[in-house]
Amino acid sequence: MTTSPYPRPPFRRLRALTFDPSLDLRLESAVVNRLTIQVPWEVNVAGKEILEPGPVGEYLEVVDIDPASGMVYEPVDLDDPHLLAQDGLSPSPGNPQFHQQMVYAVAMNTIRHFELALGRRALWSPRRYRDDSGEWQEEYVQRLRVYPHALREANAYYSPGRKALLFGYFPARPSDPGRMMPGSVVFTCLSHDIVAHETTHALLDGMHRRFLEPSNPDVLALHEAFADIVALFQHFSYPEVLRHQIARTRGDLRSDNLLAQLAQEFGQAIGRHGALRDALGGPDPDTGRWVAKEPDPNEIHRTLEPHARGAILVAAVFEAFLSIYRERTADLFRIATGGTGVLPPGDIHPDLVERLAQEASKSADHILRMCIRALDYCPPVDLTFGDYLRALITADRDLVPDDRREYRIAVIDAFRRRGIYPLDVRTLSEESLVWQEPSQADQREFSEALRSATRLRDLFPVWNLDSNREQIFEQNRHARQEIHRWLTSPPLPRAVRAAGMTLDARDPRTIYRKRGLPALEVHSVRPALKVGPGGRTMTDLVVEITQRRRGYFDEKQQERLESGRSRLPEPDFMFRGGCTVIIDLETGKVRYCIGKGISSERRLDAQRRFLKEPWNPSLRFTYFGEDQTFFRGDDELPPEPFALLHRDDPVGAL
Amino acid sequence: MPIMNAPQSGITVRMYRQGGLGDCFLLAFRAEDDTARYMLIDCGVFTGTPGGSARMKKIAEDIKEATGGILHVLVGTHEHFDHLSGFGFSGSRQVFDEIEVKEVWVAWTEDPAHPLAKKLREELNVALRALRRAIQRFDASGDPRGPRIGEVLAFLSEGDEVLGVIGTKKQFDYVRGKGEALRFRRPGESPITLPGVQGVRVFVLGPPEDEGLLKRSNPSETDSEVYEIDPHMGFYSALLRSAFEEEGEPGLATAGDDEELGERSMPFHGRYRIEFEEQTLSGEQRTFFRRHYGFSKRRGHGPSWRRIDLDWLAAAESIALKLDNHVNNTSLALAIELVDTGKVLLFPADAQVGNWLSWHDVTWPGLDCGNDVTGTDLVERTVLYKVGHHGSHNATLRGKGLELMESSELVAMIPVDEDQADGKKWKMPFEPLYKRLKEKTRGRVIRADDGLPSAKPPGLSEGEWDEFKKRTKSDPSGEKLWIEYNVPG
Repeated sequence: MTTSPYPRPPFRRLRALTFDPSLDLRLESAVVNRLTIQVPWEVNVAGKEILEPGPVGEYLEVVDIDPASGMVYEPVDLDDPHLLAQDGLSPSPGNPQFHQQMVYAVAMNTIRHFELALGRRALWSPRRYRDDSGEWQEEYVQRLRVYPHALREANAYYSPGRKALLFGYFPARPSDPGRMMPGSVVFTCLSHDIVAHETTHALLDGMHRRFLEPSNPDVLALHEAFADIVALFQHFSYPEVLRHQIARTRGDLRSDNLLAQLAQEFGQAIGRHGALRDALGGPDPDTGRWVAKEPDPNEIHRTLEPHARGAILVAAVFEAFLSIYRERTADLFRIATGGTGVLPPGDIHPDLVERLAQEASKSADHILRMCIRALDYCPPVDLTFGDYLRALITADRDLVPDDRREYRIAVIDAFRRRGIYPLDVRTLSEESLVWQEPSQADQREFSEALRSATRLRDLFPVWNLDSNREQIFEQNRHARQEIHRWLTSPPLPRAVRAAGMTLDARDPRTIYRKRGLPALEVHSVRPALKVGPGGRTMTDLVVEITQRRRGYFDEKQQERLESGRSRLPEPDFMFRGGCTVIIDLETGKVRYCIGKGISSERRLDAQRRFLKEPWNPSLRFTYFGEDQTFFRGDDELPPEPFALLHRDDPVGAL
Repeated sequence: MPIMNAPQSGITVRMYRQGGLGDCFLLAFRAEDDTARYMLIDCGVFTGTPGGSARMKKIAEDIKEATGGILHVLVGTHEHFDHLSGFGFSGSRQVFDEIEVKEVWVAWTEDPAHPLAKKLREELNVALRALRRAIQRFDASGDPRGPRIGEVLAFLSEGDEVLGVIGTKKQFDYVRGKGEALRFRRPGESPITLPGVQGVRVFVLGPPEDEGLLKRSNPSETDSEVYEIDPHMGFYSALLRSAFEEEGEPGLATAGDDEELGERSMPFHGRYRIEFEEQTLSGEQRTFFRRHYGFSKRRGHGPSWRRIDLDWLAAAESIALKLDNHVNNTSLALAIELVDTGKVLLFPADAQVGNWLSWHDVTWPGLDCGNDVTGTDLVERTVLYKVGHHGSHNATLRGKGLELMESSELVAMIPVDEDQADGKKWKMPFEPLYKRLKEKTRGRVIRADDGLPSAKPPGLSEGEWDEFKKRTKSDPSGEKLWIEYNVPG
């Protein structure tokens, strides 16, 4: 398929399962369990068609090896005319090539949602390794590797070390053999939600490498919550199932419905009564009947396991979505009921279903974009749910300055009902939640360091959805070096101080140093979209700066080392500070400065306490010790942080 | 070394100090004829403890002398090396050969005639075989995960001829065959009296005869039972299939003939399968997998840092831990009651969450003048708590365990060796638990490694401290083989 006289199709249509194979076996859902996903027709910048068997494309390489069985499976060729003519292979759990097609389609769809929300191309986190001289090197990784049959266990995870998704398969052990055949094989790669969830972990890691470091109970929980949010709201972009569920619930999306649930088959196969997770409720432990869950503002204080804690955030975001949906459809319900708002018994009119589905889809799309865009407004390290709330509100205000429909109030309200508050604001109003602009004095320091908007703009000649990703990566690397140079040679301690970081030799001596001064890393540089006056789309520049400091479990030891002169021993843990600076590229002015100070003794102590009394003293903690659960030394991640998270606590699997 | 006298009142508990993690407790009771009766609960030290074999021999000799060579009851709580190896090292075993044992008590889980016990044993054996294969595979690639799993499984050691120690299974066989009578103890059976001893009753609390609870080792709501046999497609079948193919070892007993096992252990039909060997792949396939995965470090092969050949075996780590926990959960848990005062000495061995939880459902209806005695009562009346599993985080239940123990006399004995645990990066004793133990006992915590508290804990009055000192005693010999505590009657 190299040259063709015919116009190139914009999309490739591929069949997949809307949920997973278990829904095929239930009469009420089988009709909507078939989905055709439109995946971009992959071409490179030069216009060359690049999709190879595997599939191997620009972003993904599906490599189907099954080490436990000692087998490989032939890579599917989606360009085969027979497959092109029928939207790919038809769904078949017994055919590994369909599995390859489905993981490719669902993962590509997830990537596309991400890119559209951010208005830029997605990059995977680079490979970091020490070269022969012991220096850390970063290497561009073009494609996320996908192994659809990597494991024989009820597990699937993103491996930050291998830049790969590993999916497992396993024999089902349902609690109710009437709903699922015991011993039947469950393939996690055939679950839409699991594929979307794991892909999102990889996308998030590509943006925020430090969000893998559990410096407080929210960090990993946010990783999980975010992955669930993307998987959930993706359901609303599939019109058939959306219409079906709206018809079934008579437009009431607060009631038990498939859209709010994740990983049905997996949940049942590990012996639960329903889906693995449900943003709205779940089976009552006594009766087994589905009941809605009321928000509990204290739950957040008792819940530390990352998946369970993440579920609180997911529930808050889902509630915000429901409020928006209700607001947008109140008029439709009034029209349909002659003003009473009370629907007569029986099915609702198909036209009403269609209109409600449109509104649900728009509301979901808005919320999903809001959640993704908020990632540009997060501090680079030590993120909390409260920070994320502030990021959501700020990001949304930058895109939709006028909150006419009160979306932001809906979000704030849903978070408040679950006890999720930022620690550093006085009230929960939009005005106080939005990140603050720097003071005049700080602004002057920044101007001195950054000098002009032109100089910044010159760092970014290309970064849009058509650019070459490797070129973007290299540019980014170059921009980071440039900005680092502006700040450090000669050193501009006041500008760095204004960003909440330090270049002052008098600051805590446990901060890592370079040539006598605290070392500074320009961690990431990227553009972010916003809507300016008159609806014009404009670009901000996001610059993340980080620093690190040696942390010791023993406070006395830390104190002694801070004031003493003795050689600093190997730290017990890594304490990080960081700052996200958002710069207006039109004016060169710093709009927000979102920081986590490196000199903060309060934060250092909080992290120490969190690590010393871990959220879940798992078996592994007793036996395999802290090297598995703690992050020690320079960038030495444990081999598979997500796999550990998943294996230790099947309640929060995946 | 003198004989261990019968206590004037109450029960004397001698905790041996093995110089490593392990349990060994000798209890002395006063019989009606004023002579002593002895009960030994476990006798072991962790694998690889330096000098362990010699130390265990000294301990066995001390037991022999202290008891005059007669143990009235020998309790083997569960099949773990650190509880049984005293019967495994040839030196100490020879000493035990000379000790006469009247009765041996083990849990119902060791009863060959018990159907659930049998099922569990078969599962355990399959899982162990699979895990040993996994270790071999890791070892063959020099992967550090092999030794790490081996370390967890060391609780179930196969023995070592060079060190002169037999495997854990044989150690337990030795214990079972040691007495004049062998008793399988079940929770809720009528309280046991010791021959000739008045005023003492032994209640069996666990292990529960309930598969769900037995397999529950962690406080979380549901715990997936990954060590369950999964005849097809599962983790074990992949390992055991290769065992069969390579060495003719039998596959899974439950899976019919082995040819069928080979086919059914595969997730896809034969027409989709291609052997993963560089040579057997056809031209295009070979190019694809060479480029995108790689078989070697040669040029044109995918980078090795992205390969996942052994990643699937990493599940073996969790399984090993679960197995280990499962065996701990088969611990024979005993509550020894001083009838007159109702005081209880609690010996849970290494019981974990499911075992602890089950005690609260054990009832002895109408036992005391028509009143029921329940497991909960017994826990509440505890005055001496032998801390479970060397003080790890999941072997002492909080709400339905330690927090129920309200006696002002409460004393805790922890058979722990923090240095050894530390070296293995195990949290023993687990800090929050240890802190709470010190609070509940107001400092009366006796540790096998550190011995007695060196100074009066702030929570105790002078009188209480004097009383506590009077009731405790350390081995006066230079060997410091033990510490004793006399529980008042």
